[in-house]
Amino acid sequence: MIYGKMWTVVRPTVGIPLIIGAVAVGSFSVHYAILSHTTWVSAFLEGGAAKTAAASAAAVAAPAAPVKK
Amino acid sequence: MSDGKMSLTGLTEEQSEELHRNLIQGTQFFGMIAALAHLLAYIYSPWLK
Repeated sequence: MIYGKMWTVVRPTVGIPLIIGAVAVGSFSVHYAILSHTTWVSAFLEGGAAKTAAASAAAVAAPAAPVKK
Repeated sequence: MSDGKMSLTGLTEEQSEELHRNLIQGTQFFGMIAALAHLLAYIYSPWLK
Protein backbone atom coordinates (compact mmCIF):
# COMPACT_ATOMS: atom_id res chain seq x y z
CA MET A 1 0.00 0.00 0.00
CA ILE A 2 1.27 3.47 -0.88
CA TYR A 3 2.74 5.31 2.14
CA GLY A 4 2.17 2.19 4.23
CA LYS A 5 5.59 2.48 5.81
CA MET A 6 5.14 6.10 6.97
CA TRP A 7 4.38 4.91 10.53
CA THR A 8 7.92 3.58 10.80
CA VAL A 9 9.00 7.24 10.65
CA VAL A 10 6.04 9.20 12.05
CA ARG A 11 4.99 8.22 15.54
CA PRO A 12 1.31 7.12 15.31
CA THR A 13 0.48 8.81 18.64
CA VAL A 14 1.42 12.10 16.99
CA GLY A 15 0.41 11.55 13.36
CA ILE A 16 -3.06 10.10 13.83
CA PRO A 17 -4.36 12.79 16.22
CA LEU A 18 -2.80 15.39 13.90
CA ILE A 19 -4.68 14.05 10.87
CA ILE A 20 -7.98 13.57 12.69
CA GLY A 21 -7.64 16.95 14.39
CA ALA A 22 -6.95 18.70 11.08
CA VAL A 23 -10.05 17.09 9.55
CA ALA A 24 -12.14 18.05 12.60
CA VAL A 25 -10.96 21.68 12.64
CA GLY A 26 -11.44 22.06 8.87
CA SER A 27 -14.87 20.48 8.95
CA PHE A 28 -16.01 22.54 11.94
CA SER A 29 -14.85 25.82 10.42
CA VAL A 30 -16.54 25.14 7.07
CA HIS A 31 -19.82 24.18 8.75
CA TYR A 32 -19.65 27.15 11.09
CA ALA A 33 -19.05 29.47 8.15
CA ILE A 34 -22.12 28.06 6.39
CA LEU A 35 -24.17 28.40 9.58
CA SER A 36 -23.16 32.03 10.06
CA HIS A 37 -23.43 33.08 6.38
CA THR A 38 -26.75 31.53 5.35
CA THR A 39 -30.26 31.73 6.72
CA TRP A 40 -31.49 28.25 5.90
CA VAL A 41 -29.16 26.26 8.19
CA SER A 42 -30.21 28.22 11.26
CA ALA A 43 -33.84 28.03 10.08
CA PHE A 44 -33.52 24.26 9.84
CA LEU A 45 -31.94 24.06 13.32
CA GLU A 46 -34.68 26.34 14.66
CA GLY A 47 -37.24 23.75 13.59
CA GLY A 48 -40.98 24.20 13.12
CA ALA A 49 -40.79 24.43 9.33
CA ALA A 50 -43.49 21.76 8.87
CA LYS A 51 -45.73 23.38 11.48
CA THR A 52 -45.49 26.86 9.98
CA ALA A 53 -46.02 25.45 6.47
CA ALA A 54 -49.13 23.58 7.65
CA ALA A 55 -50.39 26.68 9.44
CA SER A 56 -49.99 28.87 6.36
CA ALA A 57 -51.69 26.21 4.18
CA ALA A 58 -54.63 26.10 6.61
CA ALA A 59 -54.85 29.88 6.55
CA VAL A 60 -55.07 29.82 2.76
CA ALA A 61 -57.68 27.02 2.77
CA ALA A 62 -59.88 28.63 5.38
CA PRO A 63 -59.67 32.42 5.18
CA ALA A 64 -61.10 34.45 7.97
CA ALA A 65 -64.69 35.66 7.64
CA PRO A 66 -65.00 39.22 6.40
CA VAL A 67 -65.67 41.81 9.03
CA LYS A 68 -69.33 43.01 9.01
CA LYS A 69 -69.87 46.69 8.58
CA MET B 1 7.98 -9.47 18.52
CA SER B 2 8.09 -10.32 14.82
CA ASP B 3 11.32 -10.79 12.93
CA GLY B 4 11.00 -7.40 11.10
CA LYS B 5 13.63 -4.81 11.97
CA MET B 6 12.83 -1.95 14.30
CA SER B 7 12.40 1.61 13.05
CA LEU B 8 12.43 5.17 14.36
CA THR B 9 8.99 4.75 15.93
CA GLY B 10 9.55 1.22 17.12
CA LEU B 11 7.04 -0.23 14.66
CA THR B 12 8.03 -2.89 12.19
CA GLU B 13 7.19 -2.44 8.52
CA GLU B 14 4.42 -5.05 8.83
CA GLN B 15 2.88 -3.24 11.82
CA SER B 16 3.10 0.06 9.97
CA GLU B 17 1.39 -1.43 6.90
CA GLU B 18 -1.35 -2.93 9.09
CA LEU B 19 -1.96 0.37 10.90
CA HIS B 20 -2.05 2.24 7.60
CA ARG B 21 -4.53 -0.25 6.11
CA ASN B 22 -6.90 0.29 9.03
CA LEU B 23 -6.49 4.05 8.82
CA ILE B 24 -7.31 4.05 5.10
CA GLN B 25 -10.31 1.79 5.70
CA GLY B 26 -11.60 4.10 8.43
CA THR B 27 -11.10 7.11 6.18
CA GLN B 28 -13.06 5.42 3.40
CA PHE B 29 -15.90 4.55 5.80
CA PHE B 30 -15.99 8.12 7.13
CA GLY B 31 -15.88 9.48 3.58
CA MET B 32 -18.79 7.31 2.42
CA ILE B 33 -21.00 8.47 5.31
CA ALA B 34 -19.94 12.10 4.77
CA ALA B 35 -20.69 11.86 1.04
CA LEU B 36 -24.15 10.43 1.80
CA ALA B 37 -24.83 13.19 4.35
CA HIS B 38 -23.78 15.86 1.84
CA LEU B 39 -25.98 14.32 -0.84
CA LEU B 40 -28.98 14.42 1.50
CA ALA B 41 -28.16 18.01 2.49
CA TYR B 42 -27.93 18.95 -1.19
CA ILE B 43 -31.30 17.35 -1.96
CA TYR B 44 -33.23 18.69 1.04
CA SER B 45 -31.79 22.21 1.37
CA PRO B 46 -31.41 25.28 -0.86
CA TRP B 47 -27.66 24.61 -1.00
CA LEU B 48 -26.26 25.68 -4.43
CA LYS B 49 -29.77 26.39 -5.75
